[in-house]
Amino acid sequence: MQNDTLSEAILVEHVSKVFKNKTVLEDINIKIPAGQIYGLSGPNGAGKSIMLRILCGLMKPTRGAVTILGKRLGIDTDFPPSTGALIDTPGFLPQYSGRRNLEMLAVIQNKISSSDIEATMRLVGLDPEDDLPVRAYSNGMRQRLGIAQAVMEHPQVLILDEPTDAIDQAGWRDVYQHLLELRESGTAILLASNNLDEIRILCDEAFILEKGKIRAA
Amino acid sequence: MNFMTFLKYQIRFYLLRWRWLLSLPVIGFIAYRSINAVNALSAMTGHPVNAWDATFHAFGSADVVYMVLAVIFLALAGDVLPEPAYGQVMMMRLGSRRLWWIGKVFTLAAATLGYLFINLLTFFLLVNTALPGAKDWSEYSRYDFIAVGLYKDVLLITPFKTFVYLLVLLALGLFCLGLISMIVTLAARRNEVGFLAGAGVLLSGYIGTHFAGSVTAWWMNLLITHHFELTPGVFPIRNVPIYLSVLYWVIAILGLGFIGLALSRKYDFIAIEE
Repeated sequence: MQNDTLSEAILVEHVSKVFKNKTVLEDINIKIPAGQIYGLSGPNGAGKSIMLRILCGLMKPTRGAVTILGKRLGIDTDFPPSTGALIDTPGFLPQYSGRRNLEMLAVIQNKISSSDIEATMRLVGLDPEDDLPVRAYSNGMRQRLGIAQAVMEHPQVLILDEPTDAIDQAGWRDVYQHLLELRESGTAILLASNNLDEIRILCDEAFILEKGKIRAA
Repeated sequence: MNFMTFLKYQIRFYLLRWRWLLSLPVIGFIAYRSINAVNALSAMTGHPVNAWDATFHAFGSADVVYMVLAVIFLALAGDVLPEPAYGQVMMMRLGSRRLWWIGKVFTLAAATLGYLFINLLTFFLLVNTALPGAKDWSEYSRYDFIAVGLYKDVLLITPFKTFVYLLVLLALGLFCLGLISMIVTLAARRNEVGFLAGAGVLLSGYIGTHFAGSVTAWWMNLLITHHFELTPGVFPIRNVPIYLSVLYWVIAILGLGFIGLALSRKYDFIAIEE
């Protein structure tokens, strides 16, 4: 069991989530090894965002266990170690530039330098020298900044919810390319998307979540 | 290091905002009203007043403390929770729900002290321009301390020491009301509900001031009435020693702090727009 836990970057065991007697996730089991991209698809309201929030430690499962990089959430740690996430609408401080927003996040763990932030911004197609406040960003630029905050600290686990949402098609290629590079470097990626082409291009495996249950893999 | 950085962000994001100055015109009006009131008292009796008289006349008044100072504070400090999306990604990097809650409590403490400092400083500057400053009680205070909002025992100590007592009780009271508001917001996920909960406790205390002298039942001492103000009651009295009022707040704050800690361990962070 311990070996299983260590070999899987993300291990979800019998996870259920109940809100006011309504079951939104039921007996979910997922194993994602390091260096793999797994897709998660399903209709709106199927429970994808809640699943991703549970993996990020932001929500607590009613039953079951989540283990990320060998650490069980809620027991060994509150939040998953070395994990980048982009869930729902990326939130930023609107009065500051994109770079300032990233710097304020990065300084908490103090793992990366200013040049790492610059490089990550360029990677997602943003100009680090641009002083434009985030409130003036387009939806696509905000989404790129959201991806940048998720990947900038070189996480071993990456959890992404519709990462190419609001990004133009030319931008998709940059994002896909970077995700594939991260996979090669050993990052485990869970990608929630309703774009089946995206899942087909990027993912090694895929799950479909329907009415809170994994229907197919 | 992580925690201090997180705390710095919290304080910068929630406290370094212009909106904290919104209370200043109201405080200016209260200062004007108190200066006029004590000057009128002085004119009627011929006993001179000083800046302390205006201070205790204002902050010894239940109307000012409950219905102005505390209500504005609850409204201004009301958005420390729920945690918006940016705060959530910051919290993931912080790595601990316990530290997150402690950071919120420290932010509220800083907000309480900052709020009192800026408002009282403004008040002092205004009353000192119109009334003489002094180290001792005015002649009027010794003549009719009740009209100034004082009770007899405080005349045995200096006005400054009395003011420190008042400030300690106000600071502890505002902090505790803010904690109640934060915990209810945590449970209900809506800061309007948290505000209403804090305002509800405040209202119970305000209503209690009208019975503070006449109802002597033991449970009356559990209301914030006897602990929030230096001189509770329409007719200024103090039945509870100040050290017991401080103890009352400390116990309440510790209890609420632990409730918040327990809630934060189980809390589901939902999507909140900035």
